Amino acid sequence: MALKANVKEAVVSLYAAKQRSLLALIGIVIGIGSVIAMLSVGTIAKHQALERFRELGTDYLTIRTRNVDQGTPSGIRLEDAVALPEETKSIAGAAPWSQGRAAVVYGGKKIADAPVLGVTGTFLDLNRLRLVDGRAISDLDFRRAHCVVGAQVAASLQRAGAKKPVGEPIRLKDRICTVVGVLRTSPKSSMQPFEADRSILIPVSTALRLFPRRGVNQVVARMRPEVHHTAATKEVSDYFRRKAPRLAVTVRSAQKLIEQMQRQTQTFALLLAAIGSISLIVGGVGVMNVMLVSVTERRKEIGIRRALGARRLDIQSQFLIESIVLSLIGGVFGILLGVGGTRIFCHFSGWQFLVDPVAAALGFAVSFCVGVFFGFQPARQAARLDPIAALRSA
Amino acid sequence: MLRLRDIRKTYRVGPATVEVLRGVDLEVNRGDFVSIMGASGSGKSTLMNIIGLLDKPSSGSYSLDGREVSSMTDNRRSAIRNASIGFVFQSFHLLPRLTALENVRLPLMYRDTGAAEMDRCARGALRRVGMEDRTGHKPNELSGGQQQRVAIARALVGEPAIVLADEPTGALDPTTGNDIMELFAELNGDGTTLIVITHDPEVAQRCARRTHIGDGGLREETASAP
Repeated sequence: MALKANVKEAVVSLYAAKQRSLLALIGIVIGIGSVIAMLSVGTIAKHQALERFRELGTDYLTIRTRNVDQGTPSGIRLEDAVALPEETKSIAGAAPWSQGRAAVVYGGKKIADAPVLGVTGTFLDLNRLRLVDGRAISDLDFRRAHCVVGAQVAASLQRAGAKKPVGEPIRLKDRICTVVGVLRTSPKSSMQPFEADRSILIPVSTALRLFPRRGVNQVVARMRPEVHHTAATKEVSDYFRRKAPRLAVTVRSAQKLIEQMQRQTQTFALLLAAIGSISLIVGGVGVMNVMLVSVTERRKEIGIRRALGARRLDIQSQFLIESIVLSLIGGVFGILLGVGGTRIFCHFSGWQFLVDPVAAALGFAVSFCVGVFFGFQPARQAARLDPIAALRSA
Repeated sequence: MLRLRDIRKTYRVGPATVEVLRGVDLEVNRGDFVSIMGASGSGKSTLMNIIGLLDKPSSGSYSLDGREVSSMTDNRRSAIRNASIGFVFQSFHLLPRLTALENVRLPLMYRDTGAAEMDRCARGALRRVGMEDRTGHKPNELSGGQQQRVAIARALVGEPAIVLADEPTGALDPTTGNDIMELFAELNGDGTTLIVITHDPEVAQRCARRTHIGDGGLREETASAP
């Protein structure tokens, strides 16, 4: 029998029992909806993670010391950090830096309490930071009181009356520093251990006097291309163990962080998948129930069709097509619900909204399978009815 | 064309077996207009189900168009039902959600017929029963007599060897029933073979050849009998 006619009849008969059909659909809609939402949110999360690292690069490493005892904080010797690219095979560039905190005073007024980063000439390039005005801190600024301010600090200075921050003097602790450059605003990254917009950058040599310590406590580095992060992490750790045996350092890599995030979203996705499959089973049972009721109600129709020459297979496919159509309708609404839910999630989380076409296709495929699986038994029952008894039923 | 030889049918009712048909013989030829008359419980429904290939006899032989059909598989019997037998039921048995045209088209859906050809045949059948201007109506928009005409069109659409009518006037008032029997006579005049099963002597009277079923057997009414 023609598939088109069968599908049309299925739609007509489902429409005739629309209340029942709608109730059965709820389970399917929720099931497919959560599967779609889970896949979409997973895809968007992955996209989001990669997007965030596209700015910073995935070859980024951070190295920091762990404080083991009290007293003057121990640190990485500057020369050890600077020598990293030459002494190791996996590191392309390194920027040691130290961090302190100080009140920023301008024109006799405190305008901010800002992190003060002691940096070398490689710092801006390595962190992909750009300037909007002035110049960067260079190694020629050795022990001089020059500073580069972040975008938010620059804005505070402007509010305090400095029309053009470059050239203005600011006081950090007991030193007067001259602003030599202003950073362009940059997105905050979970990988970057500082917030450039709110920071003040001074030469590391100056910083080690302003905040006395024996060495820098942090280094950011970039790996050479084609180097795996575990190899790089191991080489860097070994290097510091060799150079400073009493120092404990922790190496973190962007790639490892991405892997961890992906594993996390995977766990999350599995959880949603479990919820989705449970609602799909509930939905499937709903479909089965509707089909069983439909078969009971339409015994006479089945009898008539059998008398007119329908084979068992014809009856079976008729009811199977009906349950597939029912599930697919649920699937379409489920996809809409899933996409809509993802849209709302993205709206509130500020993530970029995407529709994963694979997820939509999978939603269709899953609802089709639910229709076949849960429609099979009712359809078989319909096909096995005795035509005489079926004709006689009211 | 249709030949029943010593058809027997027994049912098990609990521990007992009931023999409803005890050796029925019947021969129907092309162009016959036969009535099978009997009281209720006489086994006429059972006989109709067997002739209509909805039921299998317990023993005996049934040949239709020269083929022995009593022991065929369900699929084969469905195909023969579709090709060779047109059913007309007492309560019409039209599908309520379908229009007259769609109802008439139904038997052709179980064949390899194109959509245009199906429509053409269905319209032709509706014309034969005088319902060509009611093609788009649903059964509940038609009177009983009109519904029965649509049902007869459905029985005719596949050009079956035999039209098998089970109490075709049972649900109709006498005048409408009369019209239906007239339609049958007309169709028979065009060469359609008809078997009418009824308990009503007046209906049987309208048929060219009459048989009676009773006590599990079938006997022919001779021209001289009342």
